[in-house]
Amino acid sequence: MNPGDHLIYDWNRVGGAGLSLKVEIEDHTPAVAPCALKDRLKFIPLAAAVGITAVNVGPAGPDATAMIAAAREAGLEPVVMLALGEKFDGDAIGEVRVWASRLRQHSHAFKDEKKYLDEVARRLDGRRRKVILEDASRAHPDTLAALLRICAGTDAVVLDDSAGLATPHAVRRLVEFAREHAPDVRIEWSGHNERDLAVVNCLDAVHAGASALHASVLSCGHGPGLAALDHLLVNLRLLGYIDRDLSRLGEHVEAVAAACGFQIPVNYPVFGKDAFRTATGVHAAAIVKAQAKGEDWLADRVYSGVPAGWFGRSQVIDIGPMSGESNVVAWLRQHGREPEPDLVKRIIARAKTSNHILSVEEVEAEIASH
Amino acid sequence: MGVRPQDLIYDWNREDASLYAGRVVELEDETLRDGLQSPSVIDPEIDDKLRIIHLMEALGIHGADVGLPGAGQRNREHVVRMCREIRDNHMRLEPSCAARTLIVDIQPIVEVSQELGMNVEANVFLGSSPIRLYAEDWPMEKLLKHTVEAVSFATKNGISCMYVTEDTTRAHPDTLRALYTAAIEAGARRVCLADTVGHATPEGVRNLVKFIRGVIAETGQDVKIDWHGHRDRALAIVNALAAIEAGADRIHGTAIGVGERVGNTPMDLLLINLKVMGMIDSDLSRLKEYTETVARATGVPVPHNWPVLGARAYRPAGDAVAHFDEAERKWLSDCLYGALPVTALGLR
Repeated sequence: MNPGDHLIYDWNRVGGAGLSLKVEIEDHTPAVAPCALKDRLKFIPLAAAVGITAVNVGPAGPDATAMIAAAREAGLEPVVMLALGEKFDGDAIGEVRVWASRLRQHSHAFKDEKKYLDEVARRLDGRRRKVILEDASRAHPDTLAALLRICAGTDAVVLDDSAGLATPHAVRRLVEFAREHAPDVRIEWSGHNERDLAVVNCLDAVHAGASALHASVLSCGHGPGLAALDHLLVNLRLLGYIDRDLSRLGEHVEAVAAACGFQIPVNYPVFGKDAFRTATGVHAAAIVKAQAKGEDWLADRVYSGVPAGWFGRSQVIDIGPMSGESNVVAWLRQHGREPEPDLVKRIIARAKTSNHILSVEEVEAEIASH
Repeated sequence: MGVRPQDLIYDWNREDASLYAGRVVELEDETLRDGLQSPSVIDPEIDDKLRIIHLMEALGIHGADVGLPGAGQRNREHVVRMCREIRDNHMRLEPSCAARTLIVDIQPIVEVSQELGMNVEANVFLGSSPIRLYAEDWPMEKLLKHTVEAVSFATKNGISCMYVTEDTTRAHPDTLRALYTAAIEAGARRVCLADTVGHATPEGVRNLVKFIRGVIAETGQDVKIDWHGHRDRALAIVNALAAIEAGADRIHGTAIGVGERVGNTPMDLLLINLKVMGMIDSDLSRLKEYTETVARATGVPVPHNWPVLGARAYRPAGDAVAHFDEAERKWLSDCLYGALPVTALGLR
């Protein structure tokens, strides 16, 4: 309970939402991030620091062996990617890729589905194995039902929206279908972001009964990538499904971006430069008034759906063409200057003629000319 | 006859169609108003704004919020120029402008409307959540007074009015009922539910839209519902879809999601989703031009892995389809690793 919860009417929780659900996450970042092994090894303790339980290390080989050792040291369950029938006796769960849709079977030259399913049944060993049903969101229900029967006895089945097609409603249907046809098998969800629905699809998978979600930091992966692990954790915490310290999540995001040469977009939710910045007069005024009441919680929430403080950040007020005088007063105070009325008027007049947010240097120039 | 995609693809989404049956959705483009409140944007020059207006029209977008003329001379001049462009080119695009619930903000919209002889809708906004009211020390009586004065002023001066409650997704139902009832009685024929701080989940959106539909029904008036979402939780697209499902008539968005903090519902991705769902029939062949024009004009680049339109968004099928004949290779390339028929959409 936060001190000001009575000041927020939460429409998200009307009608019983906000249940306490248990969910685990398999972090694919070390497997898919386009960077050197030494960097991918650094991601593993960062994943552990934000409560991740399993880490995918990619295909078997020397890199995977090194990452498996790092995962064990960090207390994480390592998962290695395997082709159907590939032998692996290392200290990790094997995640075996199977073509669930007839489209994928067709593209891999399997024209006879029955023969393919027989081959899957024959070559799938049940020892510490997950089975990832690739392209499950385009798989025929009969095919899925057959594969789920074959997967009885494995550690888990991963429903994979490989093409990023599924809507949240479809995710629920798929997870419920899988639970109905494989009631004793742990169901997991993995989805791509072609429609900008990957994060919410993970949430719907959990609501429908999935036990674990697959994701990667900054949506690393082919094309638009997997569900963003960072945004998934933020949502799970806001929904109250997890209660872990996420203060090092930003460090994880920045480490992945730096190693992969990604520029974090300024407007990337939570971790972009602009995530907690405003230059709009009415909104800045609300933050300033909240700060004046001496209530940090209020100032961090009055104009932010995600508390900046959870991530070691704070609300920032800038000055631009849509600003009011309260922006200038707040800016000057933040920078240790006295907000003299004439100076405030001078700076706001400058801002109104600008086509952008004033830089520190531009405001300082106005102060110097005052 | 060779194998066809429909022989190989089972669509688990297809039952969604019943959720949207009979629904007609309109789109309001906020790129040139709320989008420009991003701390990182450059306010585009008027020539770029006019290009963007034409691209909105080409994409079948229904309305455009073109600015806040009460914010200063430059803003007012740009608003007049864009509205004139819309009028003179007989566009379907309907212009609107934002205003606080203050006469000083609405008067310039009335003047633009009268100067050009066209309706320019006033989108009047007011904070509505208890946290905002507490921070601002606003009593309910003050909110109601501003609401009635603002909406009445707009409608009495001959322009239509959309009444916007800021932070609606954290506002108490009793407050919303009182404010919307007052606004509708004063003449508002469109109300806008704003997820100003990006708080909502799809479940929250559905709860809210359903409630507001009930409030409108109690007034007995024909009032449209708009949904205005933000991206703070990376849920803006799904929230827009949830709003449509629950009964919203019009959805707001901005190109590449530019906007305050981390921005608004991305209009480009919304258009793609709606097209895939069969809810719009717009020609999207200029969508990339739209996002690239806005990116260049505002200085906010399209992220490399932005769905569909980012530089690295496409996952080529490559060798995986090399052994097929040309006809089959063509459609397989389009759908094997990505679910969106990008070639058919005119996007590649």
